Amino acid sequence: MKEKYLINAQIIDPKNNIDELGGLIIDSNGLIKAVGKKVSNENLPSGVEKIDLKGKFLIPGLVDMRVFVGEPGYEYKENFRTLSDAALAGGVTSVVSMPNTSPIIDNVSMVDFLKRRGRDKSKINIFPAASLTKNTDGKIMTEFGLLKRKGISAFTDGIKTIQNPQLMSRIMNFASQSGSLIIQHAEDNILSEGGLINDGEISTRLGLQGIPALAEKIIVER
Amino acid sequence: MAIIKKLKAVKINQNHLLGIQDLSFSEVSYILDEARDFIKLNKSSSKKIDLLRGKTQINLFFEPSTRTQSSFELAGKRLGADVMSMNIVNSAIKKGETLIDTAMTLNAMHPDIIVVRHQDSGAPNLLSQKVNCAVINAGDGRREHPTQALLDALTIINRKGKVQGLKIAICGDILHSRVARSNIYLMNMLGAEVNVVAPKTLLPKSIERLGVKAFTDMKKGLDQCDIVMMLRLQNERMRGSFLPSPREYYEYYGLTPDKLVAAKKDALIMHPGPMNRGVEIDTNLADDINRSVIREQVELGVAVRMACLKIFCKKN
Repeated sequence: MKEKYLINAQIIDPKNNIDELGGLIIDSNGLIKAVGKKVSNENLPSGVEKIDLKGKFLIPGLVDMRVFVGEPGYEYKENFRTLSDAALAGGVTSVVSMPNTSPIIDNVSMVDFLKRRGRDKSKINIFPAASLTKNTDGKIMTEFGLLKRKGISAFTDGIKTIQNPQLMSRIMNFASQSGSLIIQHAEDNILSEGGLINDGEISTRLGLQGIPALAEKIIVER
Repeated sequence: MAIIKKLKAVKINQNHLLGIQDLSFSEVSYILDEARDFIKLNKSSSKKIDLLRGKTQINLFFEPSTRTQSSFELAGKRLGADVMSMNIVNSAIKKGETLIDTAMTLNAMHPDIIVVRHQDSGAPNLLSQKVNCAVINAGDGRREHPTQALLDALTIINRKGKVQGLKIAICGDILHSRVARSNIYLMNMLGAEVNVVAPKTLLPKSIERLGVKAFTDMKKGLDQCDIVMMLRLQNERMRGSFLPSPREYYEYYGLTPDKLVAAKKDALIMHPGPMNRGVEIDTNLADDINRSVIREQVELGVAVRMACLKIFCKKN
């Protein structure tokens, strides 16, 4: 692979406090060799091929923390290939995949499957999340330690909320032992039941049953 | 007397009557002016004219209704239209047909106007996008009931000469009420000051943003009001407990003579019906011919619906 030169890009990198017009050199191993305003048409050798980005944004790959891959079970919605194409088109290079598949990602063998498919079909980094409870039923906690060792980056029931506060508190205690990251969708099912839209002026005007802010707050406060 | 000077050839911009929110002041005035012409006709011995002869009107009521459905049916018939009222109980909807499929089926029969009542907010709007004829909303979920608000306005104008500057209290189950919403929009548009009175559990979120003052104390809400509109407790729409008991509700929110003294001496009592006597209204007050205009509302309802049918049927 030859060295590549990108010039005239609006480089945005919040971590390194960069927001400037400049360029980027990718070395023969595909790694970044230099980045910033010093990489410009004038400072580069003439005769090499340069890609002029004409002021378009050049950013570090984005991370999407909440992605639903249809695989397995809902391939008609999305699979690893289409997910990866869609992500790349939007500048997303890493995703955390939610466990709400069919079957649910709640055991070690499912993780192996995901990692294999992710590796074979996807051009982006897939960080699979596993469920907090078996089958996301909100009853029995999953094997946090074993799953984490297999490479699970986070635990969540995805679109579901653990309604039982006792179980949630035990999950947090147990998962903290292995340093497992927990993500919770905050929605109290009883308060949001029948709701179609945020509770407020618009729900009142449209005559639709609202979901009160309390439904979210109460889970977060808990 | 005309509400505003009779406007010649007022354009109605809407193809459908889906809600008061979609109407302008001049459109409302036009509908009310047209309705006034029908009041007299409805009292005469020969009530039928042939304005809508050859036109087909379908009444599609997904919810039970007595006054609205019969009112629309009579209105259509008096204008000479062929009126068909669908009986939902015996229809294909009970066999699992969707609203859209029902609409498309009826549409294929080339009606000129469909009058629809549905338990879901926004259903008539959806219907109007799928059919080629005019759609009139006869009440959708808790969103709007435009012809009820229009007949209420006509009743007030008939008795008080105007709506502008009046103080109107709407009391009861505001949360579940489409009548309350349509009346809030309409009375505000016509220049009234609107109070809503309800227990906190039956007040929708951010109701003040609709241009009303909200009260939980009935006497404060009724203070110096010209019009007291009572609403029915819509138990069929309530999921779970909103109130301790009908007795407690009547004690604090039922319209009784001792609460009514807060309003003006000549304040009128209105109710869209059906009434729950002894729950939201004292039975003697409901029948008080000096105060209650509840029957007049029903009477003028036919005239208002005739006006709406005439205007929106002719549009298409």
